[in-house]
Amino acid sequence: MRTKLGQLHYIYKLAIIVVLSIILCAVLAPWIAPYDPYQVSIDEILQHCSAKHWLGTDALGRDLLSRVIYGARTSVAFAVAVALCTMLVGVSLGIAGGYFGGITDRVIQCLVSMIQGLPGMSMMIAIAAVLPENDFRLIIAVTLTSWAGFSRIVRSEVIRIKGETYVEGIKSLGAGNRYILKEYVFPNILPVIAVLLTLRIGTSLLSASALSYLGLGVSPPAADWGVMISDARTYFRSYPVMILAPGIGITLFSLGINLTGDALCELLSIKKGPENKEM
Amino acid sequence: MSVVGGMFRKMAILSVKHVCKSYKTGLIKKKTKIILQDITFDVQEGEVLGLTGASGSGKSTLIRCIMRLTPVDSGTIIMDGTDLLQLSPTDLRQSRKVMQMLFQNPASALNPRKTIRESLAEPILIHQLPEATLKEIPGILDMLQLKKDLLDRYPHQLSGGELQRICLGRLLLLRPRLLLLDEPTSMLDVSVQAQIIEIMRNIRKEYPITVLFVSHDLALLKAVCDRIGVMEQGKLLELQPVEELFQHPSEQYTRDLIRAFNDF
Amino acid sequence: MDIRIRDLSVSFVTNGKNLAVLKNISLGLVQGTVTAIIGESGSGKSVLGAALARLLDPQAVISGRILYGDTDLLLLDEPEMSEIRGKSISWMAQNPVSAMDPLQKTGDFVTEILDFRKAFPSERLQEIGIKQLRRFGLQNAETVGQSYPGALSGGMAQRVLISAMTVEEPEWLIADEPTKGLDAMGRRQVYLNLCQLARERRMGMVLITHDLRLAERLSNYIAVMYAGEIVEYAGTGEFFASPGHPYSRGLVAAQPDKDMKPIPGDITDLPASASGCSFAPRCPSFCDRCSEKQKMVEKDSHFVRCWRYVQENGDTFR
Repeated sequence: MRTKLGQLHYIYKLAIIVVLSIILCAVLAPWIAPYDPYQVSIDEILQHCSAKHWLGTDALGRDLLSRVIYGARTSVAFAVAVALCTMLVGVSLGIAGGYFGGITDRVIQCLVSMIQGLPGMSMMIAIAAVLPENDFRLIIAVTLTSWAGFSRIVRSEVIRIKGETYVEGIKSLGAGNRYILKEYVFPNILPVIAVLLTLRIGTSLLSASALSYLGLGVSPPAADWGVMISDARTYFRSYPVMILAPGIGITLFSLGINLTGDALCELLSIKKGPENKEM
Repeated sequence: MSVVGGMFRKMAILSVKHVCKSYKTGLIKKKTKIILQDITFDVQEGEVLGLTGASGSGKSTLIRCIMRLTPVDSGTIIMDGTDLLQLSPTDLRQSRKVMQMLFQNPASALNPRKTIRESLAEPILIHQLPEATLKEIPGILDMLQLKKDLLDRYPHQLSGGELQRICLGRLLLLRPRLLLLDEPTSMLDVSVQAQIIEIMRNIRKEYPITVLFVSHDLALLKAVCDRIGVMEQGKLLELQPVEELFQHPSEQYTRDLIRAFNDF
Repeated sequence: MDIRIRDLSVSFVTNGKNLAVLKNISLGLVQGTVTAIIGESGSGKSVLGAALARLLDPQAVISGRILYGDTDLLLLDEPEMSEIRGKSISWMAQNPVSAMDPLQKTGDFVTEILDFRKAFPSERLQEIGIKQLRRFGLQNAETVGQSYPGALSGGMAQRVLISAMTVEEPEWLIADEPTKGLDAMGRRQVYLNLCQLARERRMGMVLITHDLRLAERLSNYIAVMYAGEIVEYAGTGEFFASPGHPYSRGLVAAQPDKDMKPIPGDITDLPASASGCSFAPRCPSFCDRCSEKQKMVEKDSHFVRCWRYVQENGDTFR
């Protein structure tokens, strides 16, 4: 028996709607943004909210609303890219270690323990700082420091599934490793991966924003929520909207995506129906 | 085909010789736990051989060793002249065709994300059998006394008895010569157990598949087996024809076991 | 005190669908006797056991009455019920190992309820626990009491569970599949323990099992359940001498030491008409009258829910 989309709690539905609309904003940015987010206008610096500029303008006279909308683009794209890379590394190493065991597993576990033993944020900053300044350094820095936890969860799932009777059954039917991995292990860890991926998108957004805030991520003048918060540092006492708008964006998106992860978890797991319960 | 003097000659389909297995436990103080101790016996072509013993006597481990689902420390397991323990992974996969195993817990014996139809077709896919084998599935369902509409359901929608029969049917597509049963009915009700045993009997009428039947239920083994082996703490105490075992058990443990069964 | 179950119905609502698990069960349980409830998985027998101890899922829809003496257990609130549980009616879960806390020593588990009730000074608990374990034939009770559930064999775990559930000397013990998954030795030991309780201490028992041999040896009365209904009720000797319902006959014939004749079909096969006999689709002697509502018929305190039973026994009873 599976839970259907319509049966989800309304909070989950709301979260999915929020996430989808942020993604929609990001995709449709050129059409919905009222101004060019990079258009500097000296006449209009540091304006408060008005009919012309709904959220006001920043220190260079750029329209804040347009920058928030375009910022969704950069931030979400980075978050998704980082999460996908993390997943790729984490899942492949997790499956390799969990399924094959032995020396492979021990080497990978050793690496995982090393990475998890280091302070994540400091490592991320250090890696981003030594890499040449381009947009990929952010992806590399976050991926390298966050795949370990991912692979550990995947590994334990793979070990659990490997011990299930149905895997032993198909093995004794004569299936090879490739078949078992493709038809048995992967489909059965897919729900876990899906949930982890969505949660990871949320944390990636936070990490990427943090790095951008420190000037180690997306470089200005790009419209990015982290960069925007960084730019607003000096002005936010008089112009709180400057920091609130991108901040709310980050909060809404990461909260939404976390709840979406929980919703996915409900949707993808197979529950025993009452018709089959031991009575 | 040669007839050896017109006499019925019994052939060993599987011979297990001096199989030993132990586990090491403990992190600092290593302890060795012996699971199987010098097990030697033959399974004759066409017979039903039962293995019994208390829980933890190593009977399940033994057949898992024969299937090579768990490694063996020493000994040989010979089937048709080849030592199964020496086979490479590729040859082992080929050898699986002739030897199949049915597991104890039907509730987790099929991939929960595949329909029954997909699960049934798997042996054909794995061993690249001709497409025509797919057409055998309806016939097998009939033999298993299962309804056709089960095919498009998922495992969690079926009862334990139905699942165990599906698992059995899936193995039979490969036409194995040796079937290993690991407590196949201990999680099921007696009426369902009787049904599965009846099906097994019908199958054996059609073609004489050899069966190695592990169970702790002596009454069940008595009803279905030709010979029964008794295991205790990793040792095979005795292996006798059923009548002989129940009338003249040679070991004290066997006597205790039979008594525990008869007058409980 | 006797327990009388009157028109007990239990159903679960999932996805808007109503699934009836027990349908109008009426059953009398006499103090100091053992009643075995037998049937296949899915017949609702475990739900009946859990209902007696009021341990059903809170979402279950329950109607009817369970009278313990003059009190209706279904009307009691939780604190009142927890006074009854353990002291008067004890319930033994199906899987003994998972019924215990893996991080609690079995000795403490046995006396946990006494500790909870503050019935004895805590210094005495250990002594009581060991005494209780020893009473159930666990020779090295001190060692067993100091070990964790994971280290016990199935038979031993079941005996520890029996000791824990009877430490307060309840009037009733509800044992849910006490021999499931045990080998011959373990099964015999559990049987002896239950026998000891029933014969020596006259503890009333509800034995939920599909092990007919155990039921035959231990019980005074047999109730056969099929698809949420009691289809037969009789004294144990009478039942095994002449089972009345076609389903009961099938169950007896399916035993390995009988001729292992299976009952055709599956418990999920539903009858054509909802009001008719639920066993009709699998019944070897099916005919048109089976789609009518079946009443419990009685002859010499042997109750059978099958109209054929009347026919077979002539008109000697009402």
